[in-house]
Amino acid sequence: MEFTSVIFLFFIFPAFFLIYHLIPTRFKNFFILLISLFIVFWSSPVLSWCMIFFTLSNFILCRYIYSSALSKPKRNYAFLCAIFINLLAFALSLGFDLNKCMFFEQKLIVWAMIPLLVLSNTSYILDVYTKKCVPQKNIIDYFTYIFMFPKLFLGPLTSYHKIQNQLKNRQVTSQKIADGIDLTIVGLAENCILAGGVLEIQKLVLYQNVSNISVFTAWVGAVAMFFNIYFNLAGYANMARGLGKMIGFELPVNFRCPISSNSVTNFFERFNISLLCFIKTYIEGFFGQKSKILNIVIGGLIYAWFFGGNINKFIAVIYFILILILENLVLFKIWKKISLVIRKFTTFILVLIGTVFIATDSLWDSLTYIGVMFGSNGVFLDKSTAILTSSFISTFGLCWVFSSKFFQNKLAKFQKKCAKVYYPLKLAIIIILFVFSCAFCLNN
Amino acid sequence: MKFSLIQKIFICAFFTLIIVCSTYLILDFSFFNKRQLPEFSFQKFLKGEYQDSVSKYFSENTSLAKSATYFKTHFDMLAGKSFINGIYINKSSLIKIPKFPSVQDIKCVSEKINQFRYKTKQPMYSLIIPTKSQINNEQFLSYSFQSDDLWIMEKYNGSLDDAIVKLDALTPLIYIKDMSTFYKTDSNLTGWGAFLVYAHNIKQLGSNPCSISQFNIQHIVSNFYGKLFDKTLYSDVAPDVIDIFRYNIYTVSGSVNQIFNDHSFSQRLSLEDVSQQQKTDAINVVMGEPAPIKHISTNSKDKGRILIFADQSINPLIHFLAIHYQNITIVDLEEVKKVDHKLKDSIQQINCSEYDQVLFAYGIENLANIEQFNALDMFNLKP
Repeated sequence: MEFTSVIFLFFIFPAFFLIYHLIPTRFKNFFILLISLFIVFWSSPVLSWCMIFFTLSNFILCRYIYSSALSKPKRNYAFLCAIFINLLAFALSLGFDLNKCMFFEQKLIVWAMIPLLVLSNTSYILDVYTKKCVPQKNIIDYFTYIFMFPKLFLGPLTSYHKIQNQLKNRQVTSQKIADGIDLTIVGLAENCILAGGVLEIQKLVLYQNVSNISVFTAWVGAVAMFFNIYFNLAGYANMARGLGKMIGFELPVNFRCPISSNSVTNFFERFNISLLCFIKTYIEGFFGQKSKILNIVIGGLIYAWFFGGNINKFIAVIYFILILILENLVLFKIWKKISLVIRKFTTFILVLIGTVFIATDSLWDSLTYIGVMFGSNGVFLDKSTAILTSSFISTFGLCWVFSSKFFQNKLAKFQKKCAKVYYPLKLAIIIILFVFSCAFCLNN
Repeated sequence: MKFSLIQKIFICAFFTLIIVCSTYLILDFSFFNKRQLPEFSFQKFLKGEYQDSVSKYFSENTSLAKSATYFKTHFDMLAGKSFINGIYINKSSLIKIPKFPSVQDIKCVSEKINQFRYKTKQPMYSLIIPTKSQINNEQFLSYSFQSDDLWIMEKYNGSLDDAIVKLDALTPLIYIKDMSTFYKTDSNLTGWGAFLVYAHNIKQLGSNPCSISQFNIQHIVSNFYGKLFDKTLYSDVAPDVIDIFRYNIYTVSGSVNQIFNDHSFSQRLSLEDVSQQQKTDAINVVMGEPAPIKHISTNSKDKGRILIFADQSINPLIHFLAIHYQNITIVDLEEVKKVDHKLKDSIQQINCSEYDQVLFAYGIENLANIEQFNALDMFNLKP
């Protein structure tokens, strides 16, 4: 069940919110857990049982890991056991069928869910092992942290030590609820209106025989692929933060205008920030900063797995790792001499090429598409390019405005100028946006 | 104080909107239309199929969803879009942007058909129905996406066994350059389009074609809006008329026995199914609703028997084939696939050697649906 589905938006969400604010505080976490488990079961009943089993094992093992009564080797065994269990969950998320000993095709929604669950569990194990925090005594609180539904689908990854206090003490004010609604609707709009709009362009381009399309059409398609991925992820992240806020959780910001990046390194500092934080905190923290290559490789693998785990995603990761290395060794020296606009443009082009690997089905398709982008079929422009561009110029314009700093800067200026009108106007626009988003969402 | 009041109004407005929408959905669902949710089964739930069908049900069948489609289409058109929900909107027609099969899909399908051919030894024919976008491509100056039908047909026909006769639906449809070969609001061939395909190909099947003067045209549905209309609700396109071409030399009568997914059986005494007129998918009036197996017996003077593996795109052609064949069996492999192996007995009763000819007739897009062709293994292929 996705956040953009009719069942969630019009039935689960209002019912949850009303009941949540009516029940006593001590039952709130249990109620969040109940709804979260329902959503997980609805999405994938079989895998849900596995994830509950893995989470329960982690909970028990972490009590051992922290126990002072145990010797160090025994603590280490318990730690390795917990990591092994998480690796099993990782294999399951890649679609590994334990009965048939083979991989099967996963549903997209499961791809979106399991990495979050596994990485949240890993965060807890590592926090307890490195004594950043004491193990959770209340199993319901622990399960609430792992399965909490706002961050279930690609939502920002949260370290246990950063959220443990909120599990017990959190406050909900009307300000927080209003901000939460605001963020949720913005996320919904990003997902349904913008990501849905560009998906249509992407389909139009990819449904054709790729080797027949023109260079410009191929680039238009690549831009659509990028915006589709970005607004899907950013939309879910905003919805997660919004839904979290409405029940008192403060989840971290996950995207900061990656389209305005001036290098690929800078791009990853703005794109899925919580995942980068996770990698920096736990992978670099665990293996140490000296083994840089190992850190990059493991970090890259986690990125690939997080975004889908098929061969093309791994190739995209290899591509980005190579560019990151190249950037750190050579390009940064050249960047300094080049104007900011050209740097931003070049970064965007490099990111678009990587996006093609992520958005296409096979390596052959990706290479053919990239070939066409660079003129392998010799046609630069055709009629379809003009029609695509004219038909979707408004969609691209909106995508650019909402993904760049431009809009945020203008909004901040307007807020300063007309402080009195700003807030009511914003809320009125948000409500209108909600109506539009629902229409697009129902239609999708 | 004022600030917090605005916030409270905002929160109330938001939840009122959601509750109004959900109440409307529930009322629409239970009282107005007396609909029922898809049937629950634990196995379907474990596979995730039940969840998918519930989500699909809510997003497709409620009037709120229809209002949303109408709203989105008109909003998109205001924003200058001509491609909406995968449909190209032209004032006189709606065209679905086709998703073509990959080379691998084509190879896979042709291999399955070739294997079938080696086992049966019956004279075998293949017919590919082109997409509306290919046929109407030249009619719409602004619509200029590369249609790949020709390329795909070449690949497909090239990978089929030489002994399989390749029929050609593309040439007559392109040659005539007539907009009315396909419905304006649907992707299917009209009666006229089917006649053109029939007249061009029937000789290869061993019969002489009837001329257009030998048919009376009967308007069977006069206000038909097809699936493409449902996807956009773009009301500026005029509705279609569903025509049946009736042979006027003698009355071709036929009975159709349909075997459905749940083993149920129905019989009617005419090729068309007038009861479908009032249903959502009025195009089913041409040959009845989709069923895995349809046995058709006619009073044709030719005593031919033909076994047809086909999707729904072949339906209008059957009325013409009924003039030349006394027994026609149509197997819809997609419908067979849906019921897994539950219809194995009924399928094994079809003995391919009892038929004079075997025809594979598919719309181009359906070649991408390769899994349905696995059901060919279930057939009785004893000589």
